[in-house]
Amino acid sequence: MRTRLLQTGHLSAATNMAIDETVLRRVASGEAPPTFRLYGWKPPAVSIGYFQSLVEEVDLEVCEDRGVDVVRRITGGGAVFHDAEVTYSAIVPQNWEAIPESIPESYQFICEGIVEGLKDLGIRAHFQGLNDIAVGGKKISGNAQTRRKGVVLQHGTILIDVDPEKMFTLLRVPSEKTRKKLIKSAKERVTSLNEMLSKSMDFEDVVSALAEGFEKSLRLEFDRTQLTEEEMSEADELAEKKYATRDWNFMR
Amino acid sequence: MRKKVIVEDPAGKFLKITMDFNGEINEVVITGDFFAHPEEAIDELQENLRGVKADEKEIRKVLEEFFSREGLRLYGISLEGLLNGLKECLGEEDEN
Repeated sequence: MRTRLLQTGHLSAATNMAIDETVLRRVASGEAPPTFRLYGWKPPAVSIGYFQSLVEEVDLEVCEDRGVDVVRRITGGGAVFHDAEVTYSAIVPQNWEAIPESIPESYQFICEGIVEGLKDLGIRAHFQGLNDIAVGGKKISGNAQTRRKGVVLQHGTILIDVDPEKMFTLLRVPSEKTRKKLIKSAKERVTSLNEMLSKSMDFEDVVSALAEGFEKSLRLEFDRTQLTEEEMSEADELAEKKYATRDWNFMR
Repeated sequence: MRKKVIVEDPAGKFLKITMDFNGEINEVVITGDFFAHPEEAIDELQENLRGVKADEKEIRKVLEEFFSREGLRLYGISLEGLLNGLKECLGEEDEN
């Protein structure tokens, strides 16, 4: 079965997470082919890991004041501020192509496509276990994976720009002193495409480079298609009934 | 009694654990930026700890059983880290 590529543009946090889960369900049932998706977030959003506590990690008042969405992911890992970035998801059967069975190896298998895409943009990055991509010792991409119903769902971000001050204003920290430390540390440890290339990168150009990077590293050619109407309506319903609800987001 | 601790797991992540207990455990909530596959295993562990005597030996037994579960994959969270956190909730850590 051919693998499709969806480019869904910038959507809300709840819709983005609902699309990933809808596609996961449909890949599991055989209704959808293996799927890669490239997307962004509008409004900007903070996502938290499945095991995190929203009230403990996120300053909800500041987020609301600034029009920043919040959502719990179905994947583990930490809190992420999604603003100037390209996000991808890879939703494929556990036995798809040459994907390794082992979780650490499968992270790398998918991440090599991003490394390839970054190379095309002029950045020599490398996979750094368990789930990061780094360039010159600084992280440029974070990734998270879940496996359900025989399907691997991996999603992750590629930073176009990074604003540690803003990020740590939206996240809850124990003290102002800690906040300053975390901002300083993020500036030393995290980078972005704009910083690496000393220019302002365009979302669509990064999307194209990543799509080609995946094709090259996975040795396949995507069917460039769109979500079906059925998928979109299922995702809208899931967004409303799950990802936009207090029950889900405040679960822990 | 309700206690909340933050411990650094030797496996690499910070675990935030809340325990409500009174002789026996009423509730444990484990949060953090770790990964667990399948994710529901952590919910089951929380459930398995409910009603257990609030005592290191009994808690260790539940954890050991949990960690022997087939197919469980954990990243950033370990038996040792969890046990340290739960022990700290019980107030059995070395105060010096």
